[in-house]
Amino acid sequence: MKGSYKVFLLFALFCLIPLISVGKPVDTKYDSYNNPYFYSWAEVKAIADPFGYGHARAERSYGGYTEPISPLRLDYEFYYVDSSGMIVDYEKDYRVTSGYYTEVWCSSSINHMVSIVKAKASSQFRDNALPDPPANEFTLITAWAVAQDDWLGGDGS
Amino acid sequence: MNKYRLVAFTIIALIFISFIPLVHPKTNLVPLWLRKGVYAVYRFKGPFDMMFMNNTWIWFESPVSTSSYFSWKITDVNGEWATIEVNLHIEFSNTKVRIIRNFNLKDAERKVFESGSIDLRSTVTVNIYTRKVYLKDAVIGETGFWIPPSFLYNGSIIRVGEVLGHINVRGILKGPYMVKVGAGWVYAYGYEEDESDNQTINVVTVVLKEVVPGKIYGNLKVLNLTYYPNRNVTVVWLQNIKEPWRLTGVGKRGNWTKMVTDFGFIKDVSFRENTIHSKYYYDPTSGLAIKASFGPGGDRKPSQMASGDGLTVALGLRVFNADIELVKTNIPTLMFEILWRGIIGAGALMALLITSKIKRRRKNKENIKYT
Repeated sequence: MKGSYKVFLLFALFCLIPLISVGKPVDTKYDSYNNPYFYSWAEVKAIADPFGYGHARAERSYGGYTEPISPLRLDYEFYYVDSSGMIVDYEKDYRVTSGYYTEVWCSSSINHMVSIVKAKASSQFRDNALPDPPANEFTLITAWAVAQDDWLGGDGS
Repeated sequence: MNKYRLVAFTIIALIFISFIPLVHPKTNLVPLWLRKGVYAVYRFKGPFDMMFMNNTWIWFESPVSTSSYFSWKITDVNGEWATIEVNLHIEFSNTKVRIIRNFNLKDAERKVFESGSIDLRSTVTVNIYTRKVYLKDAVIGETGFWIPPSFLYNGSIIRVGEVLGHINVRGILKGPYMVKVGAGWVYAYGYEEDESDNQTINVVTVVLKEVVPGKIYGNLKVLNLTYYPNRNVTVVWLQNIKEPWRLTGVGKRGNWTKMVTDFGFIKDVSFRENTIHSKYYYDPTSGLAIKASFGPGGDRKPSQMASGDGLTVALGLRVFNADIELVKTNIPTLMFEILWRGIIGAGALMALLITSKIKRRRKNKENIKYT
């Protein structure tokens, strides 16, 4: 039986070789914006009809914690439309802030009127000393395009 | 040599042999699996959009049927050239579609397709060392659907994926970590954009210390501080001096309108023109992309937009904004490696236990006979 035990250990090693060879898995909770612990994606293609201004916002909406806790990243896409309805320009950038609230506005100018807005928020909870807040209470993200007094858009959390 | 020792030696030999496919490619620029007949099939996640070379832009405003897929298959390998067949099959199932021609939103058509499909096919030649994609002898991009195993380690800095001369943001491979694919989880390396890549990214970081209206931090000017009582947040509104229509708000809990305070930092990241945004998640042993996300990119003028991968350009798509994940392949991935070892291991262990039991029974029988 002693021999079988050793053989069993060798078999286990044999099965786990691929995992050993790729290295120790990384804990993504504190590691990557690509795979963050908190993630909210408002894939909003808000269309202000005819034109208006755009707005993307990310906010941690849980209570009881003081900031800064971790950087909050807001990815946004703004598409600009001119007065004839042509999409003439667009931008895709992002902001990172240490607070719990980030907001980016892109308002109309003479030639540029924001018409389509997409936004995504993500964050990492870097402070190990604090407990994890429930994910569903964490981030509120809104993205919208505004036309005259109306707004069309969406949000996600 | 007794039976147990023989088995043990066999297992050790097997372990050494099984290391070969994992270790050997790390000295090579071409994956060992790259041969005629290998394929990978990906399905779409959520709505996406695509633009043809003639500027016809299609937005899928609701998900397409689950039988839709993007696939590639190597049909031949000759020296340093691989012939690859690329397929895109989109099946409608009450799918809401918006068709925009020549970037004109006013004339956009909105339709709901109950059924029907779109099929795009192409055959390209890919250099297996550089992964450059050629269509009729002209370079059309570069594929990031696989990378050499020698790139596969945590912290590896790579730049893969290219569309008609638009380069991708340089990436740092992170991991391996667990990534969700379909209903299950697999190990993968993630592609994180490298903020020090000044060829594609411009980063400005400002520390908002002692914030008062009118104060200037680099290109940012403090417009005002506004307290929102319903959220108990004070937001400092910053205006970009060079692009005054751009406003940024940074919030802090509490009412800070009557006190001078710090608001932490703000990092403004903008991507340069000619940049595409493709991110891939790679299988840790084969280097095959098990997930990919293609965001809008290229020039800021929509007529110059580009996104996707060298293989999607082959389909006549200048823009391919989509999230896709692997559903089927015959390329041995990490999970496959674990699975076959598990099956062989379990089989061998079972055989060993059965032989040992039979042996013991025989011995017991013999002992009974003698007594």
